[in-house]
Amino acid sequence: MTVDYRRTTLELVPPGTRVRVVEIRHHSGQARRLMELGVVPGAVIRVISNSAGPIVVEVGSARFAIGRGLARRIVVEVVEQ
Amino acid sequence: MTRIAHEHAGTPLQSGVHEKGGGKRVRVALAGAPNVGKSTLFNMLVGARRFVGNWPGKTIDRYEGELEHHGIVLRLVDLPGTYSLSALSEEEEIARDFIVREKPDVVVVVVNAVSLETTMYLVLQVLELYDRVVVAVNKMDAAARRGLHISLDRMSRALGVPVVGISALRGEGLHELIESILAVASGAVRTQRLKLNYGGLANYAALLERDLEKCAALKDYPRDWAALRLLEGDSKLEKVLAEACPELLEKVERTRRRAEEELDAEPALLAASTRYTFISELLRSCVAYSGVVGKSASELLDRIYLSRLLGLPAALATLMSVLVVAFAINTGFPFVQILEALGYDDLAELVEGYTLSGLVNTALSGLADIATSVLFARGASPLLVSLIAEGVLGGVGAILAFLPLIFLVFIFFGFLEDTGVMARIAVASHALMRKVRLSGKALLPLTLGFGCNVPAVMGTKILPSDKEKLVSSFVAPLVPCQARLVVLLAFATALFSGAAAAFAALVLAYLIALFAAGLLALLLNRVISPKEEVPELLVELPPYHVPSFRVIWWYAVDNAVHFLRKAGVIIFLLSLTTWVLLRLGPSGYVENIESSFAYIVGSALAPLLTPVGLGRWEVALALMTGFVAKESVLATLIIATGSTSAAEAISRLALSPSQALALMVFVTLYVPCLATLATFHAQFRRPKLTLLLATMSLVLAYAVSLVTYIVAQVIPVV
Repeated sequence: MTVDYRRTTLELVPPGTRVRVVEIRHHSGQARRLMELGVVPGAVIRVISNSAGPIVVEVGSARFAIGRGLARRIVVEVVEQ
Repeated sequence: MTRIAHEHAGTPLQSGVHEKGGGKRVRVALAGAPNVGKSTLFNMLVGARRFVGNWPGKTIDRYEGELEHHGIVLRLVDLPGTYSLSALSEEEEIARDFIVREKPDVVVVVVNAVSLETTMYLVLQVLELYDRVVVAVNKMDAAARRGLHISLDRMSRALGVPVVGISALRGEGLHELIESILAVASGAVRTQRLKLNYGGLANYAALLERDLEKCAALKDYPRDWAALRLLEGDSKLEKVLAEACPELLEKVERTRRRAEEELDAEPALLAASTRYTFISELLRSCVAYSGVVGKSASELLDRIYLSRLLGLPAALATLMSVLVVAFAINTGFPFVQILEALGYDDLAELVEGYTLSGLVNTALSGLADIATSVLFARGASPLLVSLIAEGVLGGVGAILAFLPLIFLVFIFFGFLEDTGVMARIAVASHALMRKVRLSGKALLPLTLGFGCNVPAVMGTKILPSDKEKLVSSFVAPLVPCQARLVVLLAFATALFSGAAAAFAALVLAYLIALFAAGLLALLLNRVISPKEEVPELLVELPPYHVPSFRVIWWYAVDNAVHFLRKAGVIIFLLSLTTWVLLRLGPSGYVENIESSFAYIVGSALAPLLTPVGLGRWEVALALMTGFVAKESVLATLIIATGSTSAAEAISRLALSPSQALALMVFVTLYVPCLATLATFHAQFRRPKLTLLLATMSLVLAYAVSLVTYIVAQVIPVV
């Protein structure tokens, strides 16, 4: 299997990038909450800001702030820089 | 666990209230995600005809109301705001249980036209569970302004239930909504549960479905729904199974593992994906965008609040300025103090008289004077006069003293909430709050505490987990409220020569209190279910919008009324008790405080305070009355020392700087005032917890002021 360089975690995605959610590696109420908010595998989300604090993403027209710990467990692949 | 069984037993009673046979009464439940404007809709529909209560055994408010439409009474229940019906949180459990057990005639699910993607999820969950549903798409006006066009007809056809576009705030579309509700309730419009295509997962659900028939405890739930939920993993249903049909639970777990292996994915994930695929297809078919949304102001605000460097300072500055405005309106702080420092004492007094609490005080003392003279003129005994003028009116005053500030604090924070700024503040402060194992969301209630601890404790309801609610409610009373600020100011200015020393003492008291609050939060987080992980941040950032005065007004009125209902009686009764202590003694009614019960109690308690340098009956008594309302500490000291002003009373006590500091610290930390305790008790309704809170803060106050006293003696204060 070749290494997919487009694949990363949400924590490392620079602002302005559109990514597709691949997997959520977390088994808790928070992961479930993410899915309920539309962050499901296959969904395309846009990273609005990503500095030291929480990562702000846009899902459809709604925005969420996701803590870094949680973002680290969301595997994504870059769709468009 | 046993609670479920109790609720079952309670069901027939509750549904007996429902007079469906008469056909004149329609029971409607309002469901919706947070930020969709559900409460606004509720208020618009029922107006003044509403009642606040509690969900049985829960800490969450239950709003109910009525409206009449062509002779038919609609009884509305406002379910807690939830994104889903997973029963993961108390709110979700309440909403789901209500629909399943009470079987309302119609469930109205409110969604936000501007963020359909996230708010439609609940619609799907309700529709999968229940058939008699009407969808209300709120904020249609805002959507139109952004160039969003929603085809309600298409949506209605796809969902199989009526879909009505409304603007709750402007009162648009409400008539049509009511008509649709009645049409569904009467059966004129036939609706059915939504059946999504879960693909492979459906086969496993079908396997379970047959077995679930055997379990009577699940009879309230649609079987196919329960089967799928159990495959996804549903702690509430699992609990029911574990109790009633444990052998089935095993089978569920086996089937879930099998599905996960054979489908190579978690069932929970597959189900959520199916729902989201359905939603995005639905929206693709019935939502059209035109034009670009003007985002410049929002982007700018977000760039500040969400920036790495500016975020936290901006958030704190916003909260501070809101607090200062609330303080200024209520007591004139800090302007009165600045005027006094500049030597304009008359002007300071004038300003103070026209602040909110100044006006309330003037009105109350005027009322007391009138009552006194009227009663004396009729030859009433001094006991009766004192009872009415000081006891009863004093009790009313104790309640009213809190009300303006509570109201103001809620107005200002309603403003932050309504404009969308509050969510940003939660994000910006998350890193800071995590240091004490709380989330950014907890900063809101804790900041309310600087104004008044009552809204702070009430405000913890917004926190996502039960644990965080409890920890924050314990910590909130340690935040020095404005009443304590007044007392601290009086002590600091009277005891320390020079404005700088007074200010330093004040700041020191605040820092000690906040440090204690932080430590307590850390400690409690270790003690209360320590295995639960620190909450990760996940906050919706609603679009910024211009505040609506009506929404903010409702928010403040609701909360103020809530406070009166919950805490009013307790505050009144206990301040009456204080009157009894102060005005009665072994010899009956007393004018002189030194022959009252209060003196006896104060003298008995004074030796306890000797180690912290405060072994005086006056101080012990003042601290006792300060329990009713912290402002009373000063009033009691004035009476007990026979002085005319707070400054005189304090100088008569002749406290050394170290004693003064110890007293300031003690006043800041010791037992939360009556109103806060009453609110805390109303929130959790567990006497042990309330007692624990009181004892804990007393012990804390004693220990910290002891340390302060000793340290201040070693290191001489200026």
